[in-house]
Amino acid sequence: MNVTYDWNEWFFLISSTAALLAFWPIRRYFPPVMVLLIWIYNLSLVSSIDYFLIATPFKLYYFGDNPTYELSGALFHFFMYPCASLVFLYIYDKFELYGKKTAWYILFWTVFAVFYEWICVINKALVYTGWKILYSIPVYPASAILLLLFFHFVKKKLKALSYHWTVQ
Amino acid sequence: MVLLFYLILNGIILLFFIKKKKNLHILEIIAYWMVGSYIGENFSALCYMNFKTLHIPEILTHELSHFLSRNTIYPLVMVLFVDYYLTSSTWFKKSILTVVFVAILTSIEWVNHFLGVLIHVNWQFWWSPAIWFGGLASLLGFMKIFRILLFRGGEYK
Repeated sequence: MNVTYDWNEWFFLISSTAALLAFWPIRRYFPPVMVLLIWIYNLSLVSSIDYFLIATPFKLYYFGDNPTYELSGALFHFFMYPCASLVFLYIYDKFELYGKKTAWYILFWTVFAVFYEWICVINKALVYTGWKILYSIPVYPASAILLLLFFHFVKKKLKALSYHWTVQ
Repeated sequence: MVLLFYLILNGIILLFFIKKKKNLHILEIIAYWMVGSYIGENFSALCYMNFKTLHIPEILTHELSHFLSRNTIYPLVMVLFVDYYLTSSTWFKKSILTVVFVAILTSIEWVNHFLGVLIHVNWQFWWSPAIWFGGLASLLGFMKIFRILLFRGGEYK
């Protein structure tokens, strides 16, 4: 481990705080159990995929200063992805972006996510050692579709447990 | 050959889990599975990437075997533990169950070692049961909170 507290750590910290602040006003929109499920879904999925691609044999990229599991990277996993996903689901559900609107909505988030990934790369928060930003383009819509499927599945199961689903 | 062993082991545990009469809600199974996977993942990642006390050989079949271990085998065993734990009526039974499952998880970890999938380097053996005991205790803590939230009902605001 050779970690120095420099700009990329600040970048992780600022990004995670910004994501948390974006989530904070909407934290009561979903029932706590839904928030918890979406949170751990993201946490386990992202850490699983990242570890698979960061560790042997692929070694396609790493977060931070070097290929170790840094606290700043864990912070990213813990706050950045779950908060961004909850904001994504909030807008989708609140404004009922169903049908064709979903496709446009996913396209918008894909563009935003790829742009944000590029920002991460230029800030040396994410270092490619084989990965290309082009590979990320199909990953984001696939992740968004999976997230929506998971969301609807959880919603259906919670309804069956007598959760009342009303949108203001 | 190693990957085939893990695929078969994975299939057996998965089949057993599917056939078993479960006491958990489907959302509980998913939640505990994901938490179990996250615990296994962090244990492996910290020891392999940071402390260098675990080593994964740069062989694709071994890496895939380890991937199966941390995403299916460990979490499934942990979900099974929670399922049995909830039906154990006394603290004595719960304690015995915990010891048995710590032993199962430790055994799986050391099978990984003997098959060359996850090699221990400068490792004290007692760390393995201690880590899995910590993992199961964390999962039980999570279960307590999750069950309160899941079964209390609620609505969108």
